[in-house]
Amino acid sequence: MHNVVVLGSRFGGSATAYWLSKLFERREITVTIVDQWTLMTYRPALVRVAAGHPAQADNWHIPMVRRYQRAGFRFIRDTAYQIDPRAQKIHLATHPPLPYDTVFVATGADPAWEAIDGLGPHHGGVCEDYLARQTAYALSKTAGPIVVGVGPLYYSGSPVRLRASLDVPALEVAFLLDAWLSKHRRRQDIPITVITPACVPGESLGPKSQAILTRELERRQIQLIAESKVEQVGDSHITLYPQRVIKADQMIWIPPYHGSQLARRSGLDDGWGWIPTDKYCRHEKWSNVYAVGDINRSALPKLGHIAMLQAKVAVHALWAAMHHKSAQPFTPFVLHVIWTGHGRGLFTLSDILYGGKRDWVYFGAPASLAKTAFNASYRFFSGWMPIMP
Amino acid sequence: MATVITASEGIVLITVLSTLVTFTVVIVGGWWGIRRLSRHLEHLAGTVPRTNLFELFFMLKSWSWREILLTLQRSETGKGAQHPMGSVVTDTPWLDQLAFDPVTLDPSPPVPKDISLRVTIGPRAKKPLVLELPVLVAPMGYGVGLTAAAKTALAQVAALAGTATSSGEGPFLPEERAYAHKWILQWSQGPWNHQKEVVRLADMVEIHLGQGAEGQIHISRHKHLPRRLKRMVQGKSVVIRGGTPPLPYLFTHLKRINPDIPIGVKLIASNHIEKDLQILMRWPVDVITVDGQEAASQNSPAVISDHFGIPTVWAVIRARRWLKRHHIHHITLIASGGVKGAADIAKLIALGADAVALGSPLLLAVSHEQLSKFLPLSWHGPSRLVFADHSSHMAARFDVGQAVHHAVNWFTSTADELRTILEALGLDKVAALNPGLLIAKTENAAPLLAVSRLEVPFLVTQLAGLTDSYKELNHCLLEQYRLLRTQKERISGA
Ligand SMILES: Cc1cc2nc3c(=O)[nH]c(=O)nc-3n(C[C@H](O)[C@H](O)[C@H](O)COP(=O)(O)OP(=O)(O)OC[C@H]3O[C@@H](n4cnc5c(N)ncnc54)[C@H](O)[C@@H]3O)c2cc1C
Repeated sequence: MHNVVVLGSRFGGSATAYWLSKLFERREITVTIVDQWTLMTYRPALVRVAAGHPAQADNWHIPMVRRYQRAGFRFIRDTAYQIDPRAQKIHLATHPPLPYDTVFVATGADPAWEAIDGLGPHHGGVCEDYLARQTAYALSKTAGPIVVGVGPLYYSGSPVRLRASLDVPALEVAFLLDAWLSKHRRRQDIPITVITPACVPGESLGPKSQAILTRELERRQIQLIAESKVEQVGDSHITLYPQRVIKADQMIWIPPYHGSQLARRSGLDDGWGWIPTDKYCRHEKWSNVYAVGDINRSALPKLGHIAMLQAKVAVHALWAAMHHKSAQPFTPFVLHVIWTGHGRGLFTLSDILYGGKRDWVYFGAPASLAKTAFNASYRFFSGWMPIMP
Repeated sequence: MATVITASEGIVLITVLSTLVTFTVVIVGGWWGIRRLSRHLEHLAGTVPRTNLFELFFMLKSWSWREILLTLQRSETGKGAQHPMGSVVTDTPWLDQLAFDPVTLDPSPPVPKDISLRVTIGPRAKKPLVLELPVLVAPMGYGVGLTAAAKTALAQVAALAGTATSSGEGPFLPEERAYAHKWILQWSQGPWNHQKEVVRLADMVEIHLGQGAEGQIHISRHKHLPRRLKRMVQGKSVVIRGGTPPLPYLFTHLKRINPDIPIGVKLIASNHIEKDLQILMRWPVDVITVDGQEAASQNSPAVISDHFGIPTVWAVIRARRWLKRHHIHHITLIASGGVKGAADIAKLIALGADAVALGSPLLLAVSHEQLSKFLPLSWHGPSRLVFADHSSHMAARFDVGQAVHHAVNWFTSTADELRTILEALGLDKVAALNPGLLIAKTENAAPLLAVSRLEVPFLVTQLAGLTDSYKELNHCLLEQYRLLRTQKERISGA
């Protein structure tokens, strides 16, 4: 039997497991999934948690293990330390080395807090449950300016050009905060600023969405400092290059993305911490190593939707290789909804970032509802939805 | 004119009358009862209190509640008595007998603006630990001490407070490592965590040489162990060996696996702490934690917790004095044991510690507002919520979110209080705290300051250093001589 290991169990890993269970017969493969958490934290919902709803954090922990066990897969709760592609083994922190015939790496990007002088998770964030929850608690006491900061994306910069680690959730938090503070009649006393290295808001979305976002930010008096370079972060201030100090009573950070330590330690990265793959998400050098989601160099922007697309492409590629068939390559497009508060949302379906021409946009209540419905169904089906993107 | 009473008025009248009668009976009965009781008590008081209630008075005079409860525990279990939450025999609350000397007109430094609480742990290491405040989460092991939920909460708290948390003596918990921004692996003599991978995942390793509440004894646990832990040890009981681990081998081994991070040791605060320090200087130690007599653990043997070691404050003073005397400035000194809040932390830093590790106050903070849920229905103490040895239904009630919120509040207020102390002392950084800023409020505490302020003259320092080197040389020569002799004897025997 072909021995498959999936590292990581969020958007990328869970979708990989789904396609493995769909495409392969049980007698064809054995599947082991490794993650450091038994519960998946569903990150797209965290923006709402951070914007004043701390108690909702626990609603977005999705138990995955039973789902895997029902599919006949094995789950190991441990930390993967290193992949040895030569020996085809994964070194785990506390389990014996795990052999594989094929490995899917979906362990995401490590937050690179230390890439900015003084910055740390204690400054506030939204990317993990505890950060979003604490941000929400802190907001109840905030009386001064709020700054939503976005760190840079460190990568080779080609062929797709992006500057921010991920600016869409930052904008989403800013909009939701604006709505929440207005509802509580505190908005007039609390200025909100978004600091991003990107040139435009929503840099990964198409020009139409960017125009709507710019307009909406202006209308709601959310200051945008684009193309910013953060030099240093203190307890209550941010120093931008050159010599501009922004005061902040509360900060909410999307940290810089600096690739993955696991990829680096395993010698599988491209020199920037990302795993370089071909258009089937297969490692450029090791054909039995697939990279799915944020950790993949070509996953740009670092969105859950891209992770799910790549999981489908990668598992189909393995299936095709094992059954002597041809597979579909990864054709990226951005499918995203930003909650903008007050029951509205901005829907984007675009491939402009990759040189395409598609740029469909819708701004209104149905877009917000669509995102709410998707999130609810993802949670209900533990990521294995009847219709997978 | 005759008054006619209706039925309803009659009922009201009867009720009022019966209430009055009952009230009078209670009052009279109570008065009579009290009088009888006092007469009885008066009589008892005049008799020999050997077999009556007054024995309790004499007992409580000579016995503390602690001793009574421990005695009852021994009679119930037939085993050595244990208790959590640190030593209860701390007759001298040393730190409370010290106060800070506020700045006034002389000296009158400028009001500090940006007060920094930042500390660097193990500055000589290539990757030292930089903490936002000089307070660490003390080592408390998963499974052998705390539940997974409590450990996870503390890891989140540490990340949000900008400090480090420690694995403690328990096995590796992937969630803890994932949440903690800075994670210290405590190298214990338990049957786990010795894999190279675990060492490489650490931001610092601390070799456990014992702790104030337990000495260097072995620890065995066989009840209520988490399933994950049982699976790891492939058995029903866990034994953490006692004694000193092979230090020369350990230092080389750890440095080889993860050369860039600080390596520390956790020492029991003993009365021969200087000798221990001298021995430790043979190896590349970056951090020394002194765990005082007041230190707590989940279930410490009462005979050790209450009757061994020296107080944390004395250990800090003596360790710092020894390090200064030997011109050793690269070693970070961490104090732990019995520390309760910002004032204690600041005083210990003034007396020579670089940072302080705390456990009990954090356990109180994470349990805050979580006990009322089940208190009326159970007799369990607050620690039951976070300690590992309980039935699983209790663990489910622990709300990690709420726990993290309260413990982060604790850290925020402690940082605020530390800044307030520094401001009142006219200082802009925590490292500027020194013994000169302290006042002894009692005669008892005066020696603390006398010793910590003691300037060591140059010649004395040199002489002390020379004596130490001589002693070490002598020890080596004797050892070699012994080896040679045994070899000779063996040859002649053959
Ligand atoms: C606040 C926020 C909001 C977002 N909103 C949206 C949105 O609305 N729509 C959208 O499409 N995308 C959104 N994203 C992006 C999306 O969440 C990510 O792109 C997606 O999570 C990537 O999935 P992944 O599986 O590649 O990696 P991750 O989500 O990072 O998951 C990696 C998994 O691997 C595990 N892991 C990591 N290292 C190891 C190791 N060494 N050993 C074992 N396990 C390990 C982790 O525990 C984790 O479970 C958002 C992101 C954030 C931060």
